[in-house]
Amino acid sequence: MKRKMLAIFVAMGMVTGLLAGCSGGTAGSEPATQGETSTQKTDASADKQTETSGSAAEDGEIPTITIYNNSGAMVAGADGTGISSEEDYKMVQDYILEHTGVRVEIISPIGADESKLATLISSNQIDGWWGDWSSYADDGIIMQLNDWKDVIEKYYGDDMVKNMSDADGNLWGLGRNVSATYYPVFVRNDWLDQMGMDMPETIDDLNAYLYMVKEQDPFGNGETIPLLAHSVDDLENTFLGGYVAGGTDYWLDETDGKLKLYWMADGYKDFLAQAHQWYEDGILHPEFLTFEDPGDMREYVAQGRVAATACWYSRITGVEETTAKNVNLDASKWTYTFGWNSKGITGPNGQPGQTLSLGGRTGLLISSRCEHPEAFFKVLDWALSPVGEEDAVPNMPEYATYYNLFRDGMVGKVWEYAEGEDGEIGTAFIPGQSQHATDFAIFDGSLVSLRPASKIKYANGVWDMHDFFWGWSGTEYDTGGTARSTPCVVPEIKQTTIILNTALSATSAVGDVKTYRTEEMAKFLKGERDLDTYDQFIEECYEIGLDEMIDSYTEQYNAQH
Amino acid sequence: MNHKRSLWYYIKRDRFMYLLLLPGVVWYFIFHYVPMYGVIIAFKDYKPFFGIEGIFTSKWVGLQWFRKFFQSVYCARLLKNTFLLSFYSLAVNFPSAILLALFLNELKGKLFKKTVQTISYLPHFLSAVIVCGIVREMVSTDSGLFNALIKLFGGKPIPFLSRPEWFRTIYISSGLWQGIGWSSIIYLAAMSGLDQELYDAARIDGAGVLKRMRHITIPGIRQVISIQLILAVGGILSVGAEKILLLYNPQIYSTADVISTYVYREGLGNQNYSFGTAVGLFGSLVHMVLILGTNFIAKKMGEEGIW
Repeated sequence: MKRKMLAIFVAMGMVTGLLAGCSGGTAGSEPATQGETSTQKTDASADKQTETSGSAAEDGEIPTITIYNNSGAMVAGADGTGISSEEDYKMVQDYILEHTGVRVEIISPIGADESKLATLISSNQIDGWWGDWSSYADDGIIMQLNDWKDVIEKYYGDDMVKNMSDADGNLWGLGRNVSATYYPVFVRNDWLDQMGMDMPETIDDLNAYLYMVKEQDPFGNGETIPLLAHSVDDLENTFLGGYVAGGTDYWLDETDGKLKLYWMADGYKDFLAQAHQWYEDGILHPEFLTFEDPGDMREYVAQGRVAATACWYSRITGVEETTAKNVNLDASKWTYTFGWNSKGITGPNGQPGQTLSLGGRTGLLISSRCEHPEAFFKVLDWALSPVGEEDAVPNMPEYATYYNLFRDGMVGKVWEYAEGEDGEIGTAFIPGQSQHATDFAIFDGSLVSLRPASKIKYANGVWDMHDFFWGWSGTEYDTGGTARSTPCVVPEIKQTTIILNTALSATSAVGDVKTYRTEEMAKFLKGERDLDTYDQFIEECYEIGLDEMIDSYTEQYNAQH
Repeated sequence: MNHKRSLWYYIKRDRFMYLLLLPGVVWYFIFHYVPMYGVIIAFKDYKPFFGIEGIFTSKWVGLQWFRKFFQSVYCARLLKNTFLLSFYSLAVNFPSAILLALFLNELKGKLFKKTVQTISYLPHFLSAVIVCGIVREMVSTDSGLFNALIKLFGGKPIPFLSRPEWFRTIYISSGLWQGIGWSSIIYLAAMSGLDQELYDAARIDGAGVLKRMRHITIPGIRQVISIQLILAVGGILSVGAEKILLLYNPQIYSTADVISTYVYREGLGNQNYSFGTAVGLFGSLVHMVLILGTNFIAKKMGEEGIW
């Protein structure tokens, strides 16, 4: 009898467990599904949602917009996470609700979790997310934003609106990146001094520094990394303009009237020869193509192993505070561990190495199923408008907007306005408070001029390097003006409007050409394939399907010109 | 008198057994049979945005996604890599688990035996992220154990994860470390059911450890080995993407890129679920043929099949 009773209990327990397990994964239990993320903190964020979703239901009429914040800003902080505490999240959310009557819910991924994004979109759990508008527009997945074009243009600028519009002028999203130069060559100030050299201005200057660093090994134990990069793309974005006339832009081949890719242009082989030489001579780390970005990149910089860089700027600027401590930087001599040449590095063709990054088609997209798009734009309008008198705080500059609330959290709680030694007003994190609380950072593509207060100073009055660099490098680009703080190759062809047609994407050609090129580039770079066979390599690409891609690009280019 | 009892009689008699079986059956039904209708998206241009409804409303595209896979210049390489990685894994892991079980079975000291078992099981519970993190550290040219040894003996560090020729060795050896203990459990369980008197009699007859293994243990668990082999061969094209994605890079695609990683890049990465499903369906067909074939061969050889 006892055994029977035990068997009944065990069976009942198993059935109950199964049913509980099943119900936890159903579409109806929204908070549970949203909580399926990789960290405890993110689970906490789902709990926050559970709580607030409940109150939203009670409030009934409150329009709610839910954004999947997969922009990558969440990992911008030095600690690799930008998720706020539950208290900070709620505080910001309530503040927005109080001022706009709109409840904003944020789902916080770690990095840009694309596999989760598809589930969230298909189950209609989100009203907005970050992505390339051309991947969604044709299928009716995202909302056309023409009705809000004026307000978007006001806060994002004409350049960004063009990037996020199709050839017919339909607007599909709010851009993420302003056109800027994101790949300067950062060079260790103290090591440059140690080598008795000035900041490099040309590839030759840079090589002199890199080879001397390699020889002297200032980090020790043979572990100095003279030039940090994690891909051939990194090297192209940093140096290609110095070898190829159009940099990383498309170019029109007058011999056949077709639009070609930059790696088919004159000068590319010379660039590849230099890259191979760097690899061969140990200037590039032997395993640099296996580096995880941003994790490994930030770690190597912060360790103090890196002499110069060819990568996205935040890999350096985002960890400066840690790097300076690790290398015992002499603050009386240098403000930051790394410096950069404001004139850029010039290549053998006399042009700057960098190509202006044109922002691209990535931005915040609004689902076509979004029930309250007007609520979203109400929040946007409020977020980027000047702060009202009732919200004024000491030292606040007149031009301040609510942008920082979204970017860093509550003023007075996480950060405060502070006056630097130069008398300029910036912001500083309040000591002991959580930093990089970037859950609500959903307006990061807006005009830099609308968010000048987003500068952060350390306690010693030094600008946070990330904000200092961004303020220096990005400010002039989103105004559409021609003045640029970093000389760079400016693309003549608007890359954002050249989109592969869907029929071609359905074949294996595009993916295969990309894969083949990536593999072969690694071989050229490592010397496993002779550079003399580069023309043959292009022929091989044509055989795989490059001709179809070129025809598609050319067709679109001709239609637009 | 041959009295035939009704089905209900047996169900009532064994009701607790059936109750214990119920969760498994329900789980299989909900998660393995109900979603099967979704396989039709392999023949449609399905967009995940349209959810379940889209499965039925999407446009039919016939064999477009199958053509995409078979027309890819990488199709042959993907099949070859997948097959070789699976085959080598099977060739190394399958007998290793049996060998470990055989030797564990012969251990007399209970404490030592339990300790060895526990230590060998533990890696199974580590996630692929942790295992691959350990592997990356171990083979790193900067601080990795293997390169430290190579340097100690005057050699030049080898960037293992940049060399295609090393990938299979790394993948299979790390898989062996992670799975050998866990895989041996089923054989140990089978061995525990063998008649101990056979061993006693063999000892009296002067049979040593190896002879006892050869003439008692292995024949005793032959049926379990046969079934395990059939199942393993059936899954020969189902190399998981997770671990490879965490270890590979374009430099070693020539040996590391398998069907599942290709589907991940081309299918999930571009949210092309139809393509992913088409390749998955192709894989399932291959699995079915292999299982049927192996089962047929096993039976012809006088072994037990799985049905």
